[in-house]
Amino acid sequence: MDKPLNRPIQQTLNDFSFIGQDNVRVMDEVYEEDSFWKQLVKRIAKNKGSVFGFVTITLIIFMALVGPMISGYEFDEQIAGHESMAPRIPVMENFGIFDGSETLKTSTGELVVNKYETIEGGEDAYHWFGTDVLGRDLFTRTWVGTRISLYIALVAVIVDVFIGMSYGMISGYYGGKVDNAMQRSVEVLNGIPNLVVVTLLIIVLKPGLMSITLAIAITGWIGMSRVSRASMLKLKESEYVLAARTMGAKDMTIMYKEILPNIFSQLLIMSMFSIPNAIFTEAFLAFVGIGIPVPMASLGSLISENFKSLTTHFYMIVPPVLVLALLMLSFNLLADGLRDALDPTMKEV
Amino acid sequence: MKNLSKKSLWLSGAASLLLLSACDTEATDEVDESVEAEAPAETDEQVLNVQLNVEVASMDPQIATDGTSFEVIANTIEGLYQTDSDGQAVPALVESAEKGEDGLSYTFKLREDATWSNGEPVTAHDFVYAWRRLADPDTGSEYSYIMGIAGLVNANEVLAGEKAPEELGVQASDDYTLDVQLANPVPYFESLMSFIPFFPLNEDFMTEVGDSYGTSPETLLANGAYEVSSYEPAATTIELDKNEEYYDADNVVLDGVDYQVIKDSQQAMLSYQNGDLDLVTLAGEQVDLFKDDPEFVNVQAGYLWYISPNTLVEGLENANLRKALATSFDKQQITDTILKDGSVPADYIIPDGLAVGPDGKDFRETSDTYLEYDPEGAKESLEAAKSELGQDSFTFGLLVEDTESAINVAQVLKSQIESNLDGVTIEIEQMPKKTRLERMKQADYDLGLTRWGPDYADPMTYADLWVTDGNNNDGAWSNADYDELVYSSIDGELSLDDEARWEALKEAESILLNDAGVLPVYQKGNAVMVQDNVSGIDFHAVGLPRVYKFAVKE
Repeated sequence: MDKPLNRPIQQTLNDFSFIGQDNVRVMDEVYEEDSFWKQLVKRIAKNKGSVFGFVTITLIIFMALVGPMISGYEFDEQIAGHESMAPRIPVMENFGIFDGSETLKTSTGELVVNKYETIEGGEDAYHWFGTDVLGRDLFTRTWVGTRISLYIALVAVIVDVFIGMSYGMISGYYGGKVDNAMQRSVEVLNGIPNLVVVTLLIIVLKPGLMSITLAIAITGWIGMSRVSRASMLKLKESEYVLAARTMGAKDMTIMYKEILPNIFSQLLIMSMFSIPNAIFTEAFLAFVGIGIPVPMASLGSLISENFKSLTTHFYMIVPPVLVLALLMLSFNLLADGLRDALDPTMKEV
Repeated sequence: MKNLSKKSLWLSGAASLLLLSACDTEATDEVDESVEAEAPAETDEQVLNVQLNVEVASMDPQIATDGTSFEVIANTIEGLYQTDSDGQAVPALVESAEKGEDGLSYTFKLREDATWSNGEPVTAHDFVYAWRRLADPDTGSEYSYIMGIAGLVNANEVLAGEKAPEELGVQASDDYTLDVQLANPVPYFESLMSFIPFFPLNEDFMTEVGDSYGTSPETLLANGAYEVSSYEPAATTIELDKNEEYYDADNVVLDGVDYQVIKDSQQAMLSYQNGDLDLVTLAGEQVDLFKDDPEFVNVQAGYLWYISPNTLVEGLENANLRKALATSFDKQQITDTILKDGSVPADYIIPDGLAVGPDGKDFRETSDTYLEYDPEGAKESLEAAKSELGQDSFTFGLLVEDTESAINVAQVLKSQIESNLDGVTIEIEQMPKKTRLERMKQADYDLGLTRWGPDYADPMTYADLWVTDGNNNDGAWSNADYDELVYSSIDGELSLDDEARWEALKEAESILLNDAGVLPVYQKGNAVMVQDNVSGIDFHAVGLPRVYKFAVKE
């Protein structure tokens, strides 16, 4: 065993050769330094679903802002004689679709009617989505209703960020008795079903947008506060926090300057996911009849109103259902894309 | 992780929903099976399947107040009289009636072959018991005041709790003779006797079941064409079987009536088209689809829909403002484009087809119309009101119950009133019917869209609503001349002279409407579908909407 070790090593020149310039070349790959947001946008752009979501949301927001102005009708304007008219769209009517005719399946046979031809001044009237049983333009009403849903989305985000995030962070950061008290009260709040909270609110307040907003403000932030508390618990023991504290940073600085940037992406995803929930809650409340009062419109109340004519004039329910479905789907897709883009484990660097 | 768990939450939520709906289908499947299982055994059974819009509120004739409850009660219990297909009172349990010469007493001889479904005979004592029960303040009947309208001796004192119910002017001189003493002549007394609160109840049975009366088939007694075989409070299905003990059972062809509570008219129509229902009520848009169908029937109902203005509210005490409101909406448009069910515009308060006067003509034939749609006149009235009140803008809440047609009508009212009357804003407040009634009772409202159905075939069933401090005068409208005319027609001088009374009621209507004490909107019509193998259902405008005694299903 020790023989080879004791043998003197003789080296000749032939034992060595030049590595040569061809074999080793240190190439410095230069990574473009992108900002956080720029990276985010790049990654999202790779995800087709979330691009679709983003485009649809932009389109819907645009239509909600502009739609009611370009239709030429007011959302609560009841035009006598224009009750229950089928959709009629310029240009497209020439192709035999959306020309204002509809087929009524009466018990004595099918009946094709076109109200635009029978009523006075009907030839010049265009209702792109048709009208409801009271003679109100559905195009205008649908986009006015979409405004409500978008407003609810905005409320949900604001509530999530301002109440949910702060509540969870404070609870997690201070821990101990503070945490205990705050978490128990959240559990109590969470124990009351949403519907009950809204119903109670409506007894106290008038039914309307205010009580729905309040209902979301009261209960909508609980999921968010849980996430931010959990992230806070994880990060508050880390070294950089200790370092900051040693340097004499105040609690507020540590929470909002040191920890928040590190958990922000999770919170962003969370609040995006809460939007479709909030929109659906409003639509559901409107559908069961405790939403905004008539003649105001929201997507939910439009669905609820027009559902009553489903077997007679089915076209009435299609626009609000489509917009609601698209809006919820798009927010979900966008949130999905955001999550993938922000997930640190999926970063390629 | 969080998102994952959220997803799984959604999943489990969806799963539980599926489970729930699975339970639902299972339950209905079971019902279907049991029906099918019975069917082959008795294939020739004739059961009429009827849709109800709302649940039965009470099976107690002295407690029930709504049309649906009345309909079911009237199928199982028979009173002294019943209404025929023309709305006239025809004898039911009465064999012969003797009217005192001064119109102040009645002696009813009851038929001796009538029995309750437990085998006990129906006697005059049953009527005495039920009537005392109705008048007794301890019963808490909302219809107790009808005893005063019927004019029985001591009725008002018993209602006020000043006298014992035993002192009411009704006695049984023997088992089959009922003596009634009236304080004043009541020309429509016989018609009133076909009204549910005057129906008999068996005292022994009532003592036996106590407060649980009318909560199950076992705690119900029938003396009419059908008896209840399946019922529980707030039930969505009620089954009636033919009552074999009924004295006229030979003339009842049906083996039973099954009621199903289906609130959604589309769903009801689907059931009808499947053949599960024989009689359904249509709503709004559906009428267009079915109006040419041979099975389509349009029935005029007596129900009058009107807006009750609360005169205690600032602004609404002004007659010009009320008049402006009353004439500013197009009733024709409401009935023709929104309701479409045969409803007609009401420019009156006593419905068409309610009562025939001493001249043999319908009340409406010989009386005027008021408060027609007149946007120009409405604007003038509004200007007058503005200068009288020194106010330029008014905002009123409009209470509406949360049914499809009421909400639609309210939205048209709002839009038309606001466009015709500058400065008037209407805020629609929709709520369940029960809440609306409560708030109107407490005078906690501005305007209320409400309705009243006729209880008996006389204009008084409407006229007595708006007397000062009246039980149902929610808007607290008050007029001394009106009070005098109505009270005198009930039990004063006018009650003795049929023709003068008739004229007085016309005058009362003109006083009420010229002052716009109420804002009439429309008289309800019903669009119904009846399967073509069903015949013999009586539709009435007064009291009972539908009677099935002679219905046949082939």
